[in-house]
Amino acid sequence: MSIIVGTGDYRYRIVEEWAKLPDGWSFKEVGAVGTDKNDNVYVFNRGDHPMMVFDRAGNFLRSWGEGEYPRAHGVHMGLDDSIYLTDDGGHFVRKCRLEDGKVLMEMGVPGKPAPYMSGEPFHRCTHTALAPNGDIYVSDGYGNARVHKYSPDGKLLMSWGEPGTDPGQFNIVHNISCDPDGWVYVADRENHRIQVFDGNGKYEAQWNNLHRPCGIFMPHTHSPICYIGELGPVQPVNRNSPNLGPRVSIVDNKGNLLSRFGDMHAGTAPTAFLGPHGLAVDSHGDLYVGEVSWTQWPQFFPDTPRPAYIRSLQKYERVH
Amino acid sequence: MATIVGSGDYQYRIIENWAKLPDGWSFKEVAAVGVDKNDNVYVFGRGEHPMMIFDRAGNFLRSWGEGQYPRAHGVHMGPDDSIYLTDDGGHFVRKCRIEDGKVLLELGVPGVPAPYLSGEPFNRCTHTALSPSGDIYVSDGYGNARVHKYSPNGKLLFSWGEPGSDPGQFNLVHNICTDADGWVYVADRENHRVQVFDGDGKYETQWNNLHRPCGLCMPYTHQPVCYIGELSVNRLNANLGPRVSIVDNQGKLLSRIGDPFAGTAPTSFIGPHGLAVDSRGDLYVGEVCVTLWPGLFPGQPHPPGLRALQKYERIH
Repeated sequence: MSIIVGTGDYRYRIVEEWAKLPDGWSFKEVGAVGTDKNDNVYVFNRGDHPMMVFDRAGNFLRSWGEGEYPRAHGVHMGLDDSIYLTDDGGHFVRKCRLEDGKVLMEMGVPGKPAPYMSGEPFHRCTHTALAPNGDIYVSDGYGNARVHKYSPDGKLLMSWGEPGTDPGQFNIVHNISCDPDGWVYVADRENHRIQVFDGNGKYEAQWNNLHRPCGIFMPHTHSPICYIGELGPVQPVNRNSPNLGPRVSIVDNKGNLLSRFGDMHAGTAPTAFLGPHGLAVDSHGDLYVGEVSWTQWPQFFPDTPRPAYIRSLQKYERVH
Repeated sequence: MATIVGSGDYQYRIIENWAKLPDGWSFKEVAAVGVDKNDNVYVFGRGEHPMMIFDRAGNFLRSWGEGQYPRAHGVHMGPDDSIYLTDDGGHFVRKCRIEDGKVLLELGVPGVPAPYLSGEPFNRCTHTALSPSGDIYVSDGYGNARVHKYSPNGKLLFSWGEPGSDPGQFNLVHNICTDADGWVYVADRENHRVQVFDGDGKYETQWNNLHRPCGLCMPYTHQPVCYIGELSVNRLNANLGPRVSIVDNQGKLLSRIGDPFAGTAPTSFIGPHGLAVDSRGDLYVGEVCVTLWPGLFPGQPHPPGLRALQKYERIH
């Protein structure tokens, strides 16, 4: 009996236990996910094998990156069989070859953060996106309140942002996306909004009515919709409140809600989430949601030990 | 040397140690403040004397309410020499005579909360406001996600709101205000916004670009400005409160007071929770400094005499 979630045009059949990991392997938890032109799935995770690659049926293809990624955070797929990986624990971004993870370019100095809130790259950078001309945006992040823009060959062009709540200010710059018209979308997580900028960092608009928007994914089209992973309430005053996530929301290019799924509270049921942190959509419209479940568990259930296994990746097959 | 804070048309001279408390008395911390038509100041605190009243020079006039208010939360001044007190620990609202605190009307059952998130009044109600016709709005609160509307004599007319982040949904309904045209302004604290409704609870708009808006104060005029106390989360990141922001009736920032980080300097805040403005435009800010101290300064005991109230004299 299959489970259908979502509403309207964006409904999904949950595919449980989709990823067939090699015996004894584990994601621990998943920072981010990407899909390539063949709909293979790249799972950037915080286990012993930080990059695991699967076909769309969930068959394991290969792994790479062992020992090279202290804390997986963000994935963006390049157009040239490349993948951009952001590691917030290592304070770096790498452009890698899809096939084997060969590093084609590196930004930041692994293990060497810029001073906290200095505005200089990087202090726990979070994610990347590509401009239509191949310029690279980096969201940065936990220890800065900045977006940096680099040329395709890694030269820093400009940066914008500072801590705060005004337009153009950030309170944890957690994810970033760019559409073919050059608009830049920034998940300003703890300001509970997505801010939209032009390619020069000029503020254009913001989307509200969100709860801790954490992971964003946008198809590479004009005026794209946006898939948003939202984290749940973890403060003592609202930890027990329903309907605030963790959840996935799909919004149009004005930020209007199109579909939403996730249970009323955080949980381990197939229909629930713990920490939807990295999202990807393949050519079929199927959605993959990676979760930082291991990290989030104690925030929701401080008095309950983590189970031996917690789901950190699930596939949602689009119902057409 | 006077310290001036704020910007533009809303600049203030800080009046330190304004309130002259009787020897040995303490606010402990201040949840809310109100001013009457004579500019006397009503300080609703969490010490042994929950209501202390001062003249505008800070001279102590009287106290009342001892033993009657488990946890002071909200103050709204009535037009008829009355004051509406909201107690979230006691789950009740009382309309009191300002002179002596005599209870004129009581909503809720003291000590008996409605079930958590039941939508029924009250579970840790937070504040009140009056419509132009005298109807009473109650924000409710920590343990509900509702606004209730009562007739002037305390009959429940209707309620609106539910948990969530959509328009009309709430994530900790912490304060409420009205204006002379009947618009209702709700501090939806953990959604980081103020929502605006008509008098029937129909969503109109929201103000963003705020950080945990906590205490609201609006002059009772047409299209009033709004004084907003905002809370922070910790002392890690600059420019996220605690602070006081003054916005116009579209939510656009006019002035902002507070240092980049929480602190005990006269120019900074710990937890600006209750605000009031008198006839001269002077601002009083009450702070829940004891409650918020441990989250801001973990592992450090709070200093004796932590400031819980300060006056800001408007510069005209």
